[in-house]
Amino acid sequence: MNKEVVLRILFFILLVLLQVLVFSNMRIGAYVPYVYVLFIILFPIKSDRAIFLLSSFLLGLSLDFFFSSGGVHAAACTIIAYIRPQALKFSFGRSYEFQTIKLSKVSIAAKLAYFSILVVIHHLVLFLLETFNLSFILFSLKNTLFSSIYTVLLCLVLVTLFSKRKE
Amino acid sequence: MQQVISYLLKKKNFLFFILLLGISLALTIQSHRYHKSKFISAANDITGGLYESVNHVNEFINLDNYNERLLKENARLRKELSNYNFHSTVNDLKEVPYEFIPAKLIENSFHKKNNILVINKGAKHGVTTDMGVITTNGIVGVIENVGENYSTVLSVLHIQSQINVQLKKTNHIGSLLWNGESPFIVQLEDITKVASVKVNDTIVTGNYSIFPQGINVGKVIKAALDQTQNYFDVEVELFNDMSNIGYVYVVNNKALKEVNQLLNPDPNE
Repeated sequence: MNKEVVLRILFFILLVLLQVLVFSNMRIGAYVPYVYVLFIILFPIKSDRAIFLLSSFLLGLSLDFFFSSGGVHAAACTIIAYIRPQALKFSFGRSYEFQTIKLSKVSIAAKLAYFSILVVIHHLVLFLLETFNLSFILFSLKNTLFSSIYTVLLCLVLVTLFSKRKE
Repeated sequence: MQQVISYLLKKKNFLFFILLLGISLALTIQSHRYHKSKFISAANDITGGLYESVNHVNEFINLDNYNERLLKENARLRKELSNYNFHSTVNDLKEVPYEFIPAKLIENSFHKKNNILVINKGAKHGVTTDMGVITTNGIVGVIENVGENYSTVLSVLHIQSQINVQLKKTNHIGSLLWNGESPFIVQLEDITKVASVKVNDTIVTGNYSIFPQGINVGKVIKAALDQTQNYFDVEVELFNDMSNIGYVYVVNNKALKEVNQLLNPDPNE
C-alpha cells in the first residue's frame, strides 16, 4: 500500500470519529453539521471511480451504524459521490480534469459553489430518507437549508485552516 | 453478446452506483418497516464501546444532578416502604411480575425525528427487545435492538413511537405519539370525549403495556376536541427531561409474556 492510500484510510477514520464525538454535539438548535462529507469533497479527483463510490458508501454506512439510521447516510454519500464530477465541472469549469485543482488556489466563490452543491444534495437526501414521510417534507427542507449552511461554513473554515498549515 | 458485455463494462461505474444505492435504500426501507430486526444499529461492541468511553467523561459534569435524583428516589421509596406491612411484602416478593435492570444511557439524542438512544446493557444482562425503559421521573422509550453488551432504545421522541397510556384520574386509555416538534411535548390520541380531560391532569402508563401500570408520563397542557368532536387532541408535557436522562431502568414485564402467549399461541413453540 502506498502512502496516499494509508493517509486516505486514516482521514476516513478521523472524520468518522470527529463526526460522532465532536460535530454531532456541536448542535445549534436542531441543526447538526455533517462535516464528514469533507471526505467525499476532498477525495483525489484522478482516482478510480469504483473505489471512490465504494469508500463513500462505506463512510456513510459507518455513520449509519453510529446513528442507528438504517442506510440513510450511505444513500446520501453514494449519491453525492456519483454526481461529484458534474459538481466539479460546474464549479471549476471544464478544465478540471486536465489540471489538478488545489483547493487553496481556486477562488472562494468556486469553492463555495462546489461545497454547497454536494452538501445541499447530501443533506436533502439524508433528511428526506430519515423521516421517510411526505408529511414532514417542510421539516426536511428547512433542516436541509439550515444544516447545509452550518456544514458548508464549518467545512470551509476547516479546509482553510488545514491548507494554510500545509504550505 | 460481445456488444452487451462491452456496453456493461462501459457502464460498470453506473451499475456499481445503482448497486450501492440499492443496498442503502433497502437498508433504509427495512429500518422503517421492521424496527426490531434492524441490521444497521449501534447495539454492537464497536459503536457502543466508543460511546461508553466518551460517556465516562461527560458523566462527571452531571454527577451532582444524578446523585440528587437518586437521593430523591431513595427518599420516596423509603416512604412507600414504611407504609407497607413489612411481612406481607416479603411474601409477595416471589410473585413480583416486574424485573428492573439498571442501565446507563451512553448516547442520547432528542433533536431528530427518529431519536434512537443507546444503553450499556445487552443480551448478556437479560435485556430483550420490547422491554420498557424508564427513569425515576417517567418513561424514556422501548428497547429496539439488542446486542451482546449494548442495546438501542426507540425513544418516545420518535415519530413511529406509540405507547399505551391512561389518564391517572379516570383510567381512560389512549396512545402516546410524537409529532416531531418539541422534545418536551408529546401528543395523546384516542381519548374519547367522555373522558373530560383537563389541563394539569396526570398521564400514566396503561394497564396492558410493557411498562408497569401507573408509571408517570407527563401532564396535560392543552386539551381540545378534534374535528369529529368525538376524541380529544391532547398535548402532554413529559415529566422526563429527555435532554438529560443519565441512568435508566429496563423493565422486564414477565406477566406480559404470558399474556402474549395466551393471546397469540405460537404453534412453533
